[in-house]
Amino acid sequence: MSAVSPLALRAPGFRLLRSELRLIVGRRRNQLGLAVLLILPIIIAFTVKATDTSEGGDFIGSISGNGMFVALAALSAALPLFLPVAVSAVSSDAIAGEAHQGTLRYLLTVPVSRARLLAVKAIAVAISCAGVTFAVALVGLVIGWILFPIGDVTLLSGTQISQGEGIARLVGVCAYMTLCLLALAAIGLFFSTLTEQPLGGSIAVIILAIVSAILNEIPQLDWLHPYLFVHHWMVFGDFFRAPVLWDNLREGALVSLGYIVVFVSAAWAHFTTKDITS
Amino acid sequence: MTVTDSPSRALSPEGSRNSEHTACGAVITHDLMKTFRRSSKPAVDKLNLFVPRGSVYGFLGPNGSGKTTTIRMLLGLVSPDSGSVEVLGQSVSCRTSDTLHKVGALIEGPAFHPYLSGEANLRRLDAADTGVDPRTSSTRIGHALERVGLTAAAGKTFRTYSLGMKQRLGIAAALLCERELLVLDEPTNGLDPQGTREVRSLILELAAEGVTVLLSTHLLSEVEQVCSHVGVLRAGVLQAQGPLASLRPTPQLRIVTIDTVSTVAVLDRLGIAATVNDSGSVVAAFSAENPQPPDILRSLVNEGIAVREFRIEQPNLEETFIELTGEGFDVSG
Repeated sequence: MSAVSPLALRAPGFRLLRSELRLIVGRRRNQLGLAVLLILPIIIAFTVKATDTSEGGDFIGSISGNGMFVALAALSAALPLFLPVAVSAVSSDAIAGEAHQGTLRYLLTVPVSRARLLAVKAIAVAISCAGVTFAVALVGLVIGWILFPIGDVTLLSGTQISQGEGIARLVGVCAYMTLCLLALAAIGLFFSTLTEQPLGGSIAVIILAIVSAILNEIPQLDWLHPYLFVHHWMVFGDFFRAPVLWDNLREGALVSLGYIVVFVSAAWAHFTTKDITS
Repeated sequence: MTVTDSPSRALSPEGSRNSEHTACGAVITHDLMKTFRRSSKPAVDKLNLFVPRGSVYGFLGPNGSGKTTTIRMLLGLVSPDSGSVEVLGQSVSCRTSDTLHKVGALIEGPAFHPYLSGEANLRRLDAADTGVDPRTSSTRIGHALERVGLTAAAGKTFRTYSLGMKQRLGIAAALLCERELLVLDEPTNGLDPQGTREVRSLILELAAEGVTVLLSTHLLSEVEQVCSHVGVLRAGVLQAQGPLASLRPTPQLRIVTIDTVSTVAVLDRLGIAATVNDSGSVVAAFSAENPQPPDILRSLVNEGIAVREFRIEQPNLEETFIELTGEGFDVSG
């Protein structure tokens, strides 16, 4: 990072963010979680290679045609549970972790304004969400290209697009998934301001994600479905239609943005006024 | 200076809030009130704290008397229900905390990231401070670690530190940059006798440099050794506040003799109002304006009084403290 713009990153505003990212990356728990997530595309790739299948849903069937689909299959496998767990752990740790350790009172008396601390924490969590999503995709891409052919990408509809456009669409998928995960992270950040127990916050986020997924499966509640944050998660496959089906993606993005605005505001309103007794 | 239920103690007039005083107060609170949710009694009740600039202010009180809540309000961590806080001439609230750049604090014991080294923890706190020059970061961190004698253990992770080392790191964090006010909550807690002495001399050293120190403690010997001013809190109410000397009870003259009546008469002639106590000793309040002990003794002997015992007793701060905060062992809810 420092190679990009060393001067800007040394500016006072960035020192805390760098410190924050270093803290997240340096945590053994996070490193282990990331390792588990990154093994996922490798397992998928080797399994497909060993069994030599060209069948199976969720992009697995397309892998033998183009290695790029390992990335998509891995993302699709990680999205329902692994990624939400990772995001919930990091986001609920943001404030609650510091409160639990007692370091929050020392950060605030440095002083760091509460709004600034929350902003830095939120940005660090957002970078983590993006980082983990893109890392899974990148590892999938690399292992896919090592084990399987590279070249034109055959879409689900049978249309062919160039490898370059395929990569661009994969980046689109990652960006969309990051946005979906950010909705969850915003909820986690809000919970994080409510409690001094990071684990409690993270369990609450996971429960919320599971309940939301269950509600999304109940047909009688279809009026509620569009408002559930998980409802549009799996539509990321629409990036690989010809042409891209933007409707669901746009709706999913808007719902995610709505959650982000509401919960980040709630976190801000609560955190900037609460008594810090930890 | 305010004394609530002991009017006999000589203290300066209450509510001395003229501009001159405001200018030289490092910490001033006006009628500070805080009642926590789910609590009927206020944790801090109409507190008027006045910490003069350049003083070492001993903030005394039993456990649960509201010291920490007060400190948290001074640092903008807890917002008061009513009243105001002024630190280094600027008002403090949850939102505006810029004044705290000049304040170093140790609040309710040290707290750091367990898996980071002592040095990395200080670097993180320094990174959070927008008011300092990042280029001097390493120098300042090194200097702070050196001041608390932690240079050798700087690279060890915080979790391997002993309680005393953790405490030292907390003090180092408070000294990361130049401060005008240090708020130290029980800074010698967990330190070995050498460490305790070092911290005391460090406090005196800083005070000599002109730093105001607000020292929250319940170690009375510590107060007697380092503090110039004292405030005593009990159940959220300030019982007394002022220079340490004003809080110290007046020394007592005690004479054991058979000739109590003539002794009282002699003392009376010397301008000392004496009485005979239950155990038959002649006692009197003794102040510096009175004749010196050798002169008193000479007068008594010249009168032919057989003096068996003659002493000036200096009651210690502990008695005053107990008197102000109550005997009970129970934590006041």
